Amino acid sequence: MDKLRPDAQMVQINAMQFIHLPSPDIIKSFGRSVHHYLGIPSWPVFASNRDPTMAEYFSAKSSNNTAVYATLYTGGTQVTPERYMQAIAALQPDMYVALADEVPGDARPKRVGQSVDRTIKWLDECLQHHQAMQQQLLQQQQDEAAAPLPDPQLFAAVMGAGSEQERQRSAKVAAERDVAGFALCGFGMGEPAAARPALMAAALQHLPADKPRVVVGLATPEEVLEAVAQGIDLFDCSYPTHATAQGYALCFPLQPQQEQQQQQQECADADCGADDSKLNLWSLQYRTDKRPLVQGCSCFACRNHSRAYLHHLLHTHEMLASVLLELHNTHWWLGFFGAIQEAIQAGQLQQYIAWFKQRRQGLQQLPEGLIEAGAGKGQSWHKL
Amino acid sequence: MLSRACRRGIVTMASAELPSSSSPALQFQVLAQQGRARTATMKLPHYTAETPMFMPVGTQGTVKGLTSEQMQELDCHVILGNTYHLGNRPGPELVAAMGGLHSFINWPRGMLTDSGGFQMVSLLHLADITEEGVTFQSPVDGSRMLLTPEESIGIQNDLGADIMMQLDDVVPATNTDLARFEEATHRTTRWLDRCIAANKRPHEQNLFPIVQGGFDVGLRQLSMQQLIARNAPGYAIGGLAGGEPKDMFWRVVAQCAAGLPPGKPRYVMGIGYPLDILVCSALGADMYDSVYPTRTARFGVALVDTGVMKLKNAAFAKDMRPIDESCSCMTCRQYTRSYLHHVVTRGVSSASILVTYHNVAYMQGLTRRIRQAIKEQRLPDFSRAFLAGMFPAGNVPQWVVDALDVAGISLEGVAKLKPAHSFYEEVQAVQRIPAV
Repeated sequence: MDKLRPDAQMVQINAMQFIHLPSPDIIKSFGRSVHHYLGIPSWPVFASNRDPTMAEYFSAKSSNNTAVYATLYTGGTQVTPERYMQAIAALQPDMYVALADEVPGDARPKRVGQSVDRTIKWLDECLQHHQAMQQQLLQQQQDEAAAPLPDPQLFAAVMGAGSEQERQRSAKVAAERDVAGFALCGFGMGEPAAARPALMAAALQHLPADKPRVVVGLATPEEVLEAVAQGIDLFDCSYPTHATAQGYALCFPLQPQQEQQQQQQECADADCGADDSKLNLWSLQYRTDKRPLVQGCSCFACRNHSRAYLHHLLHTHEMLASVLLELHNTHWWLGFFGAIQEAIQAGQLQQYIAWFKQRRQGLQQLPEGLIEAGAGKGQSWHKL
Repeated sequence: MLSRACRRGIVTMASAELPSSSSPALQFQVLAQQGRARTATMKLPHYTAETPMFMPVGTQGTVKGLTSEQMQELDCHVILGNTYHLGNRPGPELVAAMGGLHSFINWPRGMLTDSGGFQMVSLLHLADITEEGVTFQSPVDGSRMLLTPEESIGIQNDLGADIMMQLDDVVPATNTDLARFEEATHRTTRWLDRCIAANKRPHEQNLFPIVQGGFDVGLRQLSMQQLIARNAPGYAIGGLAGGEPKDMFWRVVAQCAAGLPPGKPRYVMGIGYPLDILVCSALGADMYDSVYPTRTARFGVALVDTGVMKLKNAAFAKDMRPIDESCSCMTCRQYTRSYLHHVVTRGVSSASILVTYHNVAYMQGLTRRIRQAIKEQRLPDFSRAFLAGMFPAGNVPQWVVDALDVAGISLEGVAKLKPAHSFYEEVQAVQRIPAV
């Protein structure tokens, strides 16, 4: 993790991983927060209600009014708000999302309505447990005067799937609650990309501007840019993880100047099936390529190793391949967000987005059907 | 007075008389001796290593998930590359084009490559050994292929490691046909000569012969005589770590360590159990390699002084201690057994990296402690303390008692069993020194 400084600022975990094993009791017996348990004491932690690279949902059994049915490593299990909050209390994350009833993008209207109702109900239950948790932490601090008070911040989950109406309803109710931020859930779950802006806008118009909004599970940089333009603040790193899993090294230029440099240095690696946003290190093209993954990249992988070595590691199915690729891809992805922040601060976001999108115009567009069919159904396949 | 010193088993010499040797690409200097054990520096083209030394195996140009930087942090001096695997992928020409294996994988320190012969015999169906070389079925298309001494050296020259191993005629340790061992002994010498003739880079790369002879005292003696006559920069003791009984194993190590030139490094191939490393070092060996520490890590097994810790065991689910409280490696400083238990049981491959890191740290720590003990003339005490920790009930195996007795280290008070050296010839060959 240290190799990702200074760009990385926070680590995301999945609260569901701490429901059963390791259980809240085990974390409590450890006596310190999840930061220490995971060996990342100096990093803020955001606990999501789901992992964007996996799906705990959409299994044979479905949720009901009292609990989510989640498929964990140890098997399927019911997770009530109480059980969920027990985990949160033990973890003491800096931020977390309340328990939500996630549904796929093509869920029927009745099911969507149900998911909004349940999530509101569970939000209120979580809020109750949250208050109890705060009391307890306050008590703990009085007992151990020196320790700084952990203060987990609750984010409400805003549901609604593919229905603008339900999105609005969910957002309105969430906005009335005393929460620290909002998680717009259910994106990256098979909905058509074209429909997303309207769905997000439907929710966002009812959310206060002074509280952070997180969206988990978006795919491409373009989708992130659209969401940023609409007012989303926090995103996950599932994109670089998926790229790594498929042997890609991200290289899309982050600035117009960078684009020119890249074009001058090398022609696009079109022969190997990559576009100029990522390299497929599996390609035999890289067998003897002594250059770093991306010229000028300051990440550990690019400073120390060559494309030829990464290519070799992939073909020999060596673990080090994913270690190095994940380092590079995460570093690159975080650099992208740095560029976005700069653009916003300079008042240039729309120009940045326009430049970024027109770069990709010439690329092969995947049919919409592929996106719907693949994403969010528990597969690691992901539109890149 | 000299004989009394010998009886005490402490052979201390003035520094001017400590064994050493100088070859074009290797300078070996013993820094301190105690009994038969010694600690030395070995200057190689890429790095000056310290012995006794454990060399992790980076089979395909990587030590399972660890970065080159981490391997340096862990104080590794020399790592291994497998000629068979690297010869397939990416292939010697490519590695040569990349500037050699060091450059290709960005490892600045010492490197050793094996001949490729062992993998062939152990991994491939229908491997057949003739005078020409090792014939086998290509794993890619099943066609008949042949690895000759010349070709093995050719590949190893392209890889460019500091130390290359000769192609030897390897007989499985479980074979009982003495005639086969005899054939292998002589053939290994003939192949050594072919390897030496084929070595295009004798001033940059060392070529180590491998002593054969199975478990026959006479054959081992013969093999050593023949190989020593070739005046190599260092020697390996082969044909072990193949499932043979431990009491046969240690006698070969004892005989060969005593029979090989004192001023040159002695490499026991395939050794990785901490206990074996301690015993072999006490008997006078210097270098070891094995996949054991890194492989066992991938099964969630951590190495500690008392033995092994099987982190997948449910007992560790709530154990909030580090693997080893006395270990200062990153894994032990930051993670609990509980956390490691949960991540390794899920089969997340990257979780095993944390255990791998610790296990390599452990092996390097162990060899450092052995070197230090020899320097400070307290190897016997160190050995006794180590074995007492590993066998608190005193049930040190007979072979360890015997081997350390020959090495001049008494386990009285630590081991229940007494040394049992009933074969005089055997004792003579192993060159027992009085116990301390």
